[in-house]
Amino acid sequence: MSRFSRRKRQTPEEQTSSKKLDKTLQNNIKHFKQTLGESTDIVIRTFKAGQTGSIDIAVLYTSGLVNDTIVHDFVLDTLMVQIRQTPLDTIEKDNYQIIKDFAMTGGNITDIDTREKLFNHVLSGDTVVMLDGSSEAMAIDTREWESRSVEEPSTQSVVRGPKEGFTENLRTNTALLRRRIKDPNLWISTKPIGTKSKTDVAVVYLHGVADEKVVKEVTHRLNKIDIDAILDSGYVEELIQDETYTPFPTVYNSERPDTIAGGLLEGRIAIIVDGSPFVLLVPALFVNFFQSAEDYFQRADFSTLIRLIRYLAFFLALLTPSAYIALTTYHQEMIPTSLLVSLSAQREGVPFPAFVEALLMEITFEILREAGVRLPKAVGSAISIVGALVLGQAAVEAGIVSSAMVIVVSLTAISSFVSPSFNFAISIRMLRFGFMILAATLGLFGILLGLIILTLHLASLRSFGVPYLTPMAPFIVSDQKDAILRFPRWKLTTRPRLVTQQNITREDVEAPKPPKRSRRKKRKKQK
Amino acid sequence: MKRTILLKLALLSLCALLLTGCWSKRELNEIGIVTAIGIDRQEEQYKVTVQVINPSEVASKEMTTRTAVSTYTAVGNSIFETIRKLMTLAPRRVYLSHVREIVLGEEMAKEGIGKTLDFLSRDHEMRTDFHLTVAQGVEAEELMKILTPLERIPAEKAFSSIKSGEDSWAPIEAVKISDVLNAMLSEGNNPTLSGIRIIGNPEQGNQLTNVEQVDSPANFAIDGLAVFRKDHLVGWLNENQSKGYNYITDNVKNTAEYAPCENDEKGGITLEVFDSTSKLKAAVTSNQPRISINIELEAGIAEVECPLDLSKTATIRQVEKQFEEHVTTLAKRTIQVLQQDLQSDVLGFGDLIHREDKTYWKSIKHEWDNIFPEVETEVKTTVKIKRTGTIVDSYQKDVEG
Repeated sequence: MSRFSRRKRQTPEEQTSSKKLDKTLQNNIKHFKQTLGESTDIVIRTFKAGQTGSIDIAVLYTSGLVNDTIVHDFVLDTLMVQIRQTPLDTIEKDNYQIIKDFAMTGGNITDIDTREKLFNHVLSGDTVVMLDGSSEAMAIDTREWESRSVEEPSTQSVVRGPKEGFTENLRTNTALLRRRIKDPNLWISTKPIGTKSKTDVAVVYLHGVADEKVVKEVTHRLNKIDIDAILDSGYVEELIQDETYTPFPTVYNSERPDTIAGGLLEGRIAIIVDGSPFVLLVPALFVNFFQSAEDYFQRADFSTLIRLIRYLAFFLALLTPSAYIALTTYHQEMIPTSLLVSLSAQREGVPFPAFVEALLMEITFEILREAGVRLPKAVGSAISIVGALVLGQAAVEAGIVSSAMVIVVSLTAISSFVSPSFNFAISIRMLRFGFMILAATLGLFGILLGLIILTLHLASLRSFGVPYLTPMAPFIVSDQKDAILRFPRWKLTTRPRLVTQQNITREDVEAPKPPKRSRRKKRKKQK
Repeated sequence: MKRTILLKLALLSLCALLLTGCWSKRELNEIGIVTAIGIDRQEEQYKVTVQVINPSEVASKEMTTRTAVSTYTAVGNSIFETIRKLMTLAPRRVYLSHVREIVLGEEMAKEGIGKTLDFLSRDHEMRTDFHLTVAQGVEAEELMKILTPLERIPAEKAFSSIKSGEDSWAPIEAVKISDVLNAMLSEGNNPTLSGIRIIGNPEQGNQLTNVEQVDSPANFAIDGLAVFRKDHLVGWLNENQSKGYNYITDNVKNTAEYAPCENDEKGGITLEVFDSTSKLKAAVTSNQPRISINIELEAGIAEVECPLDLSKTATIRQVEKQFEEHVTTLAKRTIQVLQQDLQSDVLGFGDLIHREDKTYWKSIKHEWDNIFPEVETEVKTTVKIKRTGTIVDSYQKDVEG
């Protein structure tokens, strides 16, 4: 029917994967080598143990994914040196159990009985010990690989507040969250997703605070994912979001542990994907994309002002070019006379209609921006110089665009950078062009029409069952304290209503007050 | 399947929306912004002069030798037709939304302006915030052609000098089209319009040299009020009479008032009036209408040339009394001129009586024009001096002594 309809995936490896491990060590190793195509990063160390050396042992691990010191000191050393004197081959007991119970010094040991598990563990960085004559193998957690250390996040930077950012390592990321919320109710469940990549995806939430239904829905949607590889949380986001055909993101993402921890405390659910520093947060509402972590670290009045500016910038970024087009081509009577005169003086000799002029400039700007993002940092400054010259002076002096248009485009550009969420800024960028077309064909009427459609669309969106425009539509009075405005901390006593229905009260702080005794009395007392 | 078809249909119909667009589009460099319109009568036809801005002269950085505005004149049967006819002369479509000033020729005003106003209030492109004025002694066309120094757009000059004049100089009244229509259509009222007059040599006014000199040889000034009876111009009020008119109609915001010293001393004393309110009351006793006018001024002493001891309240009271008489005389003279010479009820006495005594008004409404000159009036003025400025006593005494 459709060209993009799904085809059944062919999986040759699935036939063998669920098979049990063999009792003979030789067979297991042979099969292991074959399946991996004798890959060079796999280390297979076979040796003899026991007083007479009659027990065959194999140690398997992937070089580069393990901590060599641990493997040598605690696995190889134990098996080859420490238990040399133990009469393993003479006592009539299960050697496997003895080694596991008495010898292995590793902290996290898992039993393996299938070939699939064997591959999973070895390729994840565990060291697997196999004994001849045992159909079980033990996987010792020795995972350690080269990874980026915790650095300051490159997006959503703040002036005041923690400067730690998530890394590509799942465990580091969960640790960053655990360090912020030391509550037994912080539950983390992990599950590998991706038939090939087997990427660990962790669902993190505050048990008893997060809505159970939403947790279930998230797990359900994650379980439904059937994909070969997950290379970034963006994959997961696209596979679990409510609506595909919308310019607005319905899943929030952040590189900041404090933002995610804040979300968890509000009853949201975080999804951490191994290999990506961007942690997802659901449900995501329209207002979330205007909130920066810093809003909660600065004073309430200041944060409120900044938030209002962000909303203003949102509308400026969305509507400035279209409003300019509409006013100058259809509604000249709305422009003050002296402004109209100077605008028309600037347009004198400009060959294109205002719409084409605006489109030209906007596209130029988008190209410059894209180039600036992808360029190596060393040449990045060249782009800004060219951009400033092309967008600014030269275009005006050449008479291709009017200088008012340059102001409009730069204002739009600056405004679109104000949004704390990069993915939300992209949606504004896309919508802007639609509004420009509407303005060029129908004037202000078109812009209004577009805004109505946009509002209807926003109202129809849902993020994991929560209406996207909450708390504006549906209007929730108690949630206004942290939507457009940001009330003082001692006023933020309840969690968002629709995000979670349980454990609503988060704190019970009174407003700070000066001590009751007046100064004069105090002074008297001192005398 | 059905949903995708619906979606495609919706997209198609959205595209159709775009097809209709653009038909009323006007780029900024395709319109000629008209700032002033002059309307004259030429025999049975209208002569319309528009003053179009030359945007690059007004707002660009480079100065050229071209003028800031250009005028186009055409003659036609109706105003709208004439304005469209201007397209034969002007390179751009004239755009009327930004008209600041409309000047009516004196001759035309005498014949009647009622028909002219129809276009001005009907046309969708016109905003109603322009000032209506009457050219005093000349044709409107001539006034359109005078270039002004300081303000590069002459219409803007007229607009702002009327506007600022209304705020700080008593004789000036800013009249909008709605005021004229209201007064004209009301039974007991008549409209007034500000007058505008050329000073100096009009021949030189339309040349760039006019604005290249420190003292421009030609200029125009807002002067006097044109008094109408219904829609005909019947005469003019001079500066003092206009002042009186504005005091009575409560249209003074701030002004200066001068009176000579008492006791035949040389010089005079000037007040800065910063608040003026007037209350008009009508009373009908035994079929005799009577209007009482109560004017209250708040003022400060601005300039003193008389030997007065201003530190004493008695002196202040004396000055107050002097100005009370002065303003009363101004108002009385205005009423006299309006009743006797011009015989036009621009003060709205008729309306006042109508509101006071409906039945009486009904009986006299058709003879009102005859009754108006006979109406008795009483003017009472109170002046309150609140400040004496930054010095108390004038040092005139010491200089002379």
